[in-house]
Amino acid sequence: MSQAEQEGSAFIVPEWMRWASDRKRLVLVGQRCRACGIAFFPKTARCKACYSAEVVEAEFGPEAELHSVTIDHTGTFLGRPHLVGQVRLDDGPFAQGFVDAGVDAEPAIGSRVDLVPFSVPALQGTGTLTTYAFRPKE
Amino acid sequence: MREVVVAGVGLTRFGQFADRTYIDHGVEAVVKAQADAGLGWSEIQRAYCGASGIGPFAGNRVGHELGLTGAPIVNLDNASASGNSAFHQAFLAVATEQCDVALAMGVGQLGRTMLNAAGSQAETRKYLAQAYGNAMTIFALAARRRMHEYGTSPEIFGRIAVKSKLYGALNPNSHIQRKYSLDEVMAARPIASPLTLPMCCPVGDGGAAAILTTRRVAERLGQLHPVRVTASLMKGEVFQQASAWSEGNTLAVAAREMYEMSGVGPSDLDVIQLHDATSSEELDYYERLGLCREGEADAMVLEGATGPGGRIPVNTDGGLTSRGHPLGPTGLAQVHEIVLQLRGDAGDRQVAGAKTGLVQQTGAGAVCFMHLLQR
Repeated sequence: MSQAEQEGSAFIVPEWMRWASDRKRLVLVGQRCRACGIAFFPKTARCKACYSAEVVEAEFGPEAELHSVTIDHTGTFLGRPHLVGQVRLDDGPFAQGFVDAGVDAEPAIGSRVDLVPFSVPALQGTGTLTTYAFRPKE
Repeated sequence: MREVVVAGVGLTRFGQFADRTYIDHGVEAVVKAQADAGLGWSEIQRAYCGASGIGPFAGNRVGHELGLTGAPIVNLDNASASGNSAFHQAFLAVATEQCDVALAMGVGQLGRTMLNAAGSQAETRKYLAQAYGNAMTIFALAARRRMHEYGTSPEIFGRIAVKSKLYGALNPNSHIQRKYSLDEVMAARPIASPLTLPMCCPVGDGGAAAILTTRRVAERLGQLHPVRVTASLMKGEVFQQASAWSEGNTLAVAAREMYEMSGVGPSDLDVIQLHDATSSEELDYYERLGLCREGEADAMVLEGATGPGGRIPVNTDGGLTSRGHPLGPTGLAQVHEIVLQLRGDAGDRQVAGAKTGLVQQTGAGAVCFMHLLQR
């Protein structure tokens, strides 16, 4: 996806992600609890751990550690087998998403990945949509 | 709370049936449970129905076919654990003297993807954003993490699938009724690596029911040694950030509570029915239930400890991966199997001398049920 295409494509869940300062990668938007310090993604109405309402917005990324990875052979969304990953964001929360690599280039569990924009098929009444994906670091 | 016993159970064959509705399955299961108990429909004082994703008032639609007695029917949805929710509520109703005879039923008729469950485009966007189109990927991610941490080989998952298929082949109500060799399992169509098709539960339809009552009513029915519900426990998800796999943590907490509550420990169990949406999930739960120490479940599989003749047979009806998983009736199919085992009526699947059986079920990772049955 080119920079121009990325910026012309809406985020699929706008409250979950935004551009990183380098405008090539993304950060995920979650929360941190002022009462207990726990960080989580995505946002919830209260702190998941201590139920406090004293939660503030927090950004995670644009890097993470790959916690696990699998090939979704059913290709439900993309119409072809693709990688799905789970990452541990640097302050603790987990996130699941597409892995931006071919099924024959599966990154190692424990390796570092970048959070990058990733095109997904349009839904009814929408144009192309952008979500986050995990790209192995070069 | 007073003692609660299972007076009757009923089950339909699970599978995909284009010519039958979930109402047909529900009626068949309830009628079988009534016949097993020796009770008429009008003697059911209240009913609880577990169903997920098939529309509102499923229990009432079954009740309409059986007759309008005025007994209330409560509908419950807890995903995979919907039938267990019905059982738990029926147990509480009898135990707390709200009624003497309660029916727990479950019905299911399923679509095929997580997207079917998404109620709006906003919901669908969140599934798509997370690449969450194939429910098996969640289990596959946990399996791959286990392989990374413990060196578990995919063949361990395959061996559990072989065991499940063997039991399923012995169960006339099982969705899948054929044996597989390990080679066949490993070479089967991949679903989400390392999981192949036989390691994953099929999607299907079916119905199941159980009638719970007091010992006094059971004795009036001529049941002098009914299966009793020693404990029924429901546990919700507790926040933890150490692992991406919350299901196992919730189960471990529930198991500890169940053992403390009942005085029955893992070594006292004779037979277990647990939530095996995939063979890899079953492996993890051996450890979470305390059947072995952390990291030792692979050895249990290699020893054949959870198969026929093993020290603690698990999922003797084939489990979700063979008997099937239509959500609503799944938990009551588990109860059905444990009741047969404790009565000595499980035929070729019988665990010799089984006196204590455990049902465990997880609902969408957010709720865990345990039912301890004894005779």
